[in-house]
Amino acid sequence: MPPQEQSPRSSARVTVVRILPIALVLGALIGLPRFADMAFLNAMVMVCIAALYAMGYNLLWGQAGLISFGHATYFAFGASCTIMTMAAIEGGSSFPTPLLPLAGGAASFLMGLVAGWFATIRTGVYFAMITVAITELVRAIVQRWDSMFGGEAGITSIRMAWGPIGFQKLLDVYYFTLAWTIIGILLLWFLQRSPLGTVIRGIREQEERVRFLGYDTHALKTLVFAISAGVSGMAGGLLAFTNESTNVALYEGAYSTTVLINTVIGGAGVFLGPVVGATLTTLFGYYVANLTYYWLLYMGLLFMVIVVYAPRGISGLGVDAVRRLRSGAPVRWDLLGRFALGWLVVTIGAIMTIELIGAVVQPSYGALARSSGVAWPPVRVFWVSWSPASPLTLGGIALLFGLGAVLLRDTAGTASRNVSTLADAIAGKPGPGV
Amino acid sequence: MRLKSILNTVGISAAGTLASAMLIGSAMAQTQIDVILPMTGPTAGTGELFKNGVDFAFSEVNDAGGVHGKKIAPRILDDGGTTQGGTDRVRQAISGGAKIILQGGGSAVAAAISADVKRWNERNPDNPVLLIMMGAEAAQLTKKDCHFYAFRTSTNADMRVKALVKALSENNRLGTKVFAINQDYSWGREMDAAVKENAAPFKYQVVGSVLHDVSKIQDFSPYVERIRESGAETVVTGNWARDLLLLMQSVASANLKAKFATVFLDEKGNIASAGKAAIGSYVATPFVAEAGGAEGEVYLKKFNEKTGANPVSAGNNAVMAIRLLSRAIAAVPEKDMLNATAVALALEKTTAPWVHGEVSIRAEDHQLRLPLVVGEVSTEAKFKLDGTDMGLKPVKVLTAAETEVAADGSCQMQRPK
Amino acid sequence: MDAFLVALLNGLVYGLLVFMVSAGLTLVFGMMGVLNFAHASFYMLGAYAAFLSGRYVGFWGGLVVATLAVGLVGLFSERLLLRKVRSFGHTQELLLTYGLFFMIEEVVKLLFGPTPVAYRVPDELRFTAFTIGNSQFPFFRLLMGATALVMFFGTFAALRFTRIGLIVRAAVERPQMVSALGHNVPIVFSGLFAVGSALAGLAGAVAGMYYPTSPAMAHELGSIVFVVVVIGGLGSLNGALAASLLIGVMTSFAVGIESTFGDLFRALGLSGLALPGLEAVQFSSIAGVLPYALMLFVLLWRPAGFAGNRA
Repeated sequence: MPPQEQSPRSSARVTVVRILPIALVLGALIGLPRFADMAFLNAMVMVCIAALYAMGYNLLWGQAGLISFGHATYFAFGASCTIMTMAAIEGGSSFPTPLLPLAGGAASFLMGLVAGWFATIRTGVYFAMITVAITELVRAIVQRWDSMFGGEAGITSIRMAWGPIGFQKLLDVYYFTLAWTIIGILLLWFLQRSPLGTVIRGIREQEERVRFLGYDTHALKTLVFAISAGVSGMAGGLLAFTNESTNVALYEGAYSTTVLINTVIGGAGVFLGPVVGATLTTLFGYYVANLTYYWLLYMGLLFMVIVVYAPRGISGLGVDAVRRLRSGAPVRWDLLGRFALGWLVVTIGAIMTIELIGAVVQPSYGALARSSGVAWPPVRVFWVSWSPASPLTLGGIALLFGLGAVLLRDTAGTASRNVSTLADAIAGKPGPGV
Repeated sequence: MRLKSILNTVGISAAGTLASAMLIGSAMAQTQIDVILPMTGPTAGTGELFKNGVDFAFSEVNDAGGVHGKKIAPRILDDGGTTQGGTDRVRQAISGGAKIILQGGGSAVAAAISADVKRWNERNPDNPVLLIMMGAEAAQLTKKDCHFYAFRTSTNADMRVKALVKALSENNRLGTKVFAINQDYSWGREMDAAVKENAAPFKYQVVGSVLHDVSKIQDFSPYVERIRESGAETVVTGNWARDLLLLMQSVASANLKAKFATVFLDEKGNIASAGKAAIGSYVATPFVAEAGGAEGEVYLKKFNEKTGANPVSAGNNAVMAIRLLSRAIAAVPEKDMLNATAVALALEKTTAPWVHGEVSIRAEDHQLRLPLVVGEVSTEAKFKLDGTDMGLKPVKVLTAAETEVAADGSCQMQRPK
Repeated sequence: MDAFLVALLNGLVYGLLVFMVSAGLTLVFGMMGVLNFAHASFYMLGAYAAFLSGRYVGFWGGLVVATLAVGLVGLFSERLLLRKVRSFGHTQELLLTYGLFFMIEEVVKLLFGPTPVAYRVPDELRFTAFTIGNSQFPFFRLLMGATALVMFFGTFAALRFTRIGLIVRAAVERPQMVSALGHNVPIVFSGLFAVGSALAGLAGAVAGMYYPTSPAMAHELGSIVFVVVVIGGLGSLNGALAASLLIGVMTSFAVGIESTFGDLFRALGLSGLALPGLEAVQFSSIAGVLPYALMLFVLLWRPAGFAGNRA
């Protein structure tokens, strides 16, 4: 991954430019419950948890350059330990409820120390495979250890009031989760800014040199792994706190995949990139899943498009665009417009294709064709009924793709130069891809 | 010129459909019921079975004029087969004003949803929500984890095993040596325990029992050798999907003569995928067309016309759930049709017709009482499955009284005042 | 003794199947340094391709069609997608194949639905090959093993004794040098990727008859083949074969063990450490994770794998 932007900035104006958007977003998040229904508030709780999880995960990737394929273990272990602590509070323990996520974080931190010591002996693909192996082993034990982890039915508990705070309403849970997410992100921010952060990035770039400077790089990497696991565990703890239950299914691969996808889509090279990815995919999954059964396919397509055309993720695109604007390059509105329109028509074409195919291959579609006597009964996509086999529909889809191909081609018209990223469009340069 | 005319055509047809859709929409008074199903993810195949049942059962209700003169429209929410998905969908449903939620899919998701609904009802006693779990088989759901607003319209391990061994032993097909092979998680362990519990009353000996990793075993041959060494005549398994198919493949290719007694063999794709390896296996299931006579044939045909699929396995539990629910709603005054407490009380007293006899809810723990059919996979079956030359030949139809396993008193539900 | 022989044979056949899928993966990995996550998806595509084409060209024809079709899919994935991100490094390539893995599964679900399709062992191949004691060994399992062996010797010979094999081996070791000698390394890469995918396709076409051909097929085999490649050592066919066979035999025997965790604790004199609830768990029930334990051990002790010469 490309290195973090680290150039020191001193001017007050820059500070305002940096702080202002963050303050606005924070304000919006704090004021949100006035306008949100329960479903959206719940979605935002899930966004916070996914964001904190991805941020913890990305400490390992963005800073230390290590990609874990088995982070679900630490997320889930944090959740398990938090729910056990909640059960203890229910049973009369005096552990303060507001500090619950720390219980999960601490447990995962300790687990991360052990797992990380093994995993960081290697780097690259081998590191990834060790994380996979550890995840599989932990999963196999946890799923059989019912008396400890509750098996398939999981462990349930209930949030106990602490002083004046009841923690019974989703509203309380929202502010609680938001506060802990911000605390976690701040912690990571200061860590990144600290001398330790510098050394860690040094290990990523030139491990040998850092070792010659007298640092025990293995111990440092183990520490980073453990902190990453700890923050992920805190996120898991927040999940347990919100759901008031955990399940051994949390230990399965899906939760390792999601965080990876969130980080890629958001961008691993920008500090808040994973937050962007987590927000996008969580809301997408939350709402689009009820509109189409092919939402995972759309998610996969988005992932592929990002990997190929925006290797630094969405936030990477944004950062590039801002930098080029600052550098004084003129905005090429014509290219930008073509870029936006091109992707729009291609997206519509792809959605039409997938939805029509998806509808036609259903057995119930065959039944409908037989009972109605129509060979190709109409299918509703985008609030309009389409006859799937009519030349009009098929031609329309072909037209959309053709139009997209033309629009996304560079003005020079050579086959190898595509307008591929937002930044390219702004600066009027061909993409880096080919 | 040409483009313009094409655009015109598109525009007119679009406007036409939109208008007609709105017309239909305004013509019926509709009540929406949220149905949480795994339409994506690893258990999407099960979701499809439930969706077929849901589509069919609601069309049946609506074709008969709806309930209280209102049509009922299901809204399918996809939980992706995960507990988190289930929890999110429950919150979405409740936030959207749902009072009655149907759920189909695995026990883990059902347990999570049931716990969520329970907590919601405890915190919002004036605005309770009713949950019907259409297909979750874990015993705890109607035992320790039961609550007043949760209903289960499927079987559990005890009922399935009892039905299997009863039908087979009464027809002298069980033998005296039984082997149990199951997946190592709650459901498989309950199956394992049930096989052992029924040994004495049905006079067989459990010659071996195995619990294996779920969906991780690549080759069942070593287990098959253990079965062979044990000399078992019947192998009872609650395995589903891949663990079932691979097990049957291994047994068939090793030429083992033991017969299989299964629970989920009739799910879509299984018999087609197993091929000849499935012949001679038994399954205890809610519906076997041939055992239902003319009524069974009509149900099969209507279900097929509506969904393009056969009513198999869990799809039938969805139909039972919705038949019970619509009758319970019809039994309460119209103003209470979405009052969870009123409908729950009515459900406890409701019976609904089923092809093989009536189904009803046991008030004590909200477990469904239902008839089960034990069928044998055979090429001589009247109705074939999965586009193969095989189908289910009935061995015995067990009445609801015969399949019932008495509640053990572990369900302590708090009833509304 | 009979039981031992049967378990050994079963283990070997399963190991050979795993090898069939791993062979292409390890070559591509060795050459490009990319662990192709989508490799198991190519294996699944092979099964579906054979299922579709088998209706028209018969069982044996289906094997050929699947091999060629999946080889083409591999070729296009390399030239149209993988090549685009190569300049961004191995991480991006890894992520791309990860995305492909995800996408292929969803596309198969879209087209064929989530449940298994009726692709199975043809009836004429369902007979007993030989008998050991009371156990009958089916011919079809023998065929799976034989295909793998043919594949191993074929690939081995092609790499060892042909000119192309020489260039490929050289390109794996020193791509720049081979390029400087006037060979078109990108074309060699594409070709190798296509051949690796085709091998996975063939493996899928053979194995898909035995294993359920469903969208989960890639997922189910997925990580085991990575384990094999890592244990066997980067780019080593021999290592992959040894690792596959070891994993196959190990899993086969582990299933027969009836001891529990409690027995282990007692044997180690740790009965005081008894973890409640974990004692009664049988080792055989966690046979599925043994390969991962082995991989962990190998990675920590000898990262180059059995037969690899670099890490």
